[in-house]
Amino acid sequence: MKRVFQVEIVSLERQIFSGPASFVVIPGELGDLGILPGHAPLMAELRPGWVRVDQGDPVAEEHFYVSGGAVEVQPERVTLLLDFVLTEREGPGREDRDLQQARENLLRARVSALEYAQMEAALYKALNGLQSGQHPLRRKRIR
Amino acid sequence: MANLQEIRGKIGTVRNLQKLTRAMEMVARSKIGKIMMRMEAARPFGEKVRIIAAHMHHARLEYRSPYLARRLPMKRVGLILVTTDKGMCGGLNTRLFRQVGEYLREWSRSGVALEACVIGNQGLSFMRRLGVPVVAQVVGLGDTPEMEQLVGPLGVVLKDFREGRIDGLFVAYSHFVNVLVQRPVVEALLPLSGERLGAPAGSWDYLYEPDSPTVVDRMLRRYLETSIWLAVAENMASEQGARMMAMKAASDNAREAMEDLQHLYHRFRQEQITRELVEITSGAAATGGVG
Repeated sequence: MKRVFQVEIVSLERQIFSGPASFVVIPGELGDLGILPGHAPLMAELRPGWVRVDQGDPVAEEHFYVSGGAVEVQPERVTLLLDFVLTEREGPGREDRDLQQARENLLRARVSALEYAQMEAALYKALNGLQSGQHPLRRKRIR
Repeated sequence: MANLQEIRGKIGTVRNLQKLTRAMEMVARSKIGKIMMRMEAARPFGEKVRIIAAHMHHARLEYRSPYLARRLPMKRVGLILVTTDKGMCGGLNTRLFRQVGEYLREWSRSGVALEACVIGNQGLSFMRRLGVPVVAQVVGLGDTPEMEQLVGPLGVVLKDFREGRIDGLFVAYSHFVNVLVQRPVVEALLPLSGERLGAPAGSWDYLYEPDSPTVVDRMLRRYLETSIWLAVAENMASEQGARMMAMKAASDNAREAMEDLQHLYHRFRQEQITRELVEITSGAAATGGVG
């Protein structure tokens, strides 16, 4: 029997995951963190990326895409506080699709070249913020 | 005859009113469920953030966050007033204003200046009426509290606190006890107090990544934002609860008024019939047709 600890993933909107795990990988702001049971107390900010939860034996993995938040690690417990979450199904591909859609909408709309450039710049700026986690305190509703 | 028609008209008006109030009651009844579910869903998150913030408050951190600053006595305070956008919810806002009024009087007596951040239309007109400077406002939140809409205005007052323009921050909202009972509350948010945060489970220091200032500040800010979000959510639940009760009372009153009017209507009608009968019989008696 492997050692396990309690992993909880919560956002303001709902509890996303709660259960025992033997290992988790968390996208910390400075790099991925692999956490095993008994880890020293740690508090870290998250960068956008995938969280992997290994659920002891038999090995079963769950993946969650997060784009900002914080994690609190205690020897017996890991809590992820998410400002924004997409589950496995939705993945990061969604943003690409949204971007594509937005580009097309912009092309179709009748705007001057300058306006278009400005709008595109704003869009990229916003997208950049989303991807680099520059606004981890902004919470967005999913769906 | 004119009288009878008049009463009939009145009955119609009251009936229409009752339809309206009943519809509003139903709407509130359905909305309150959704809002309560959202509140429940946010509870684990809110609880966790509170515990971590409590820990940071008690722990001897190497880094002193500006959110943990304590400047006493307070010379200027900020008040976040959470109210409803619309009326028709009984005395909910009025009761809150009365409670807030006590604080305002106390502050003005001890020479504490005030700035307000207002959420909801009703509070905005209240603050305007009193001439309190409103530094930030949100109106038209709709039926679901959205963090995105709150972050901006909250940021204004938090910045004022960080930069020392205000020495304390309070939040006033209607606490949702249950559907029947809502209680106006004014809570001190900043400086962080152990009383509101509760006692931490133990004392230890964390490893921080990337570094403690970033993590501590963001975590405390997250706590403050969540507190406001929860206050707004509670206020929304209170609004629907109060509206439900107010509209139910209005519907009941309308039914009573309608019954009275109906009664009056029957009496008038009966009177008229009697009068007509008397006229006929007395007319017949006069011409000697009867008997």
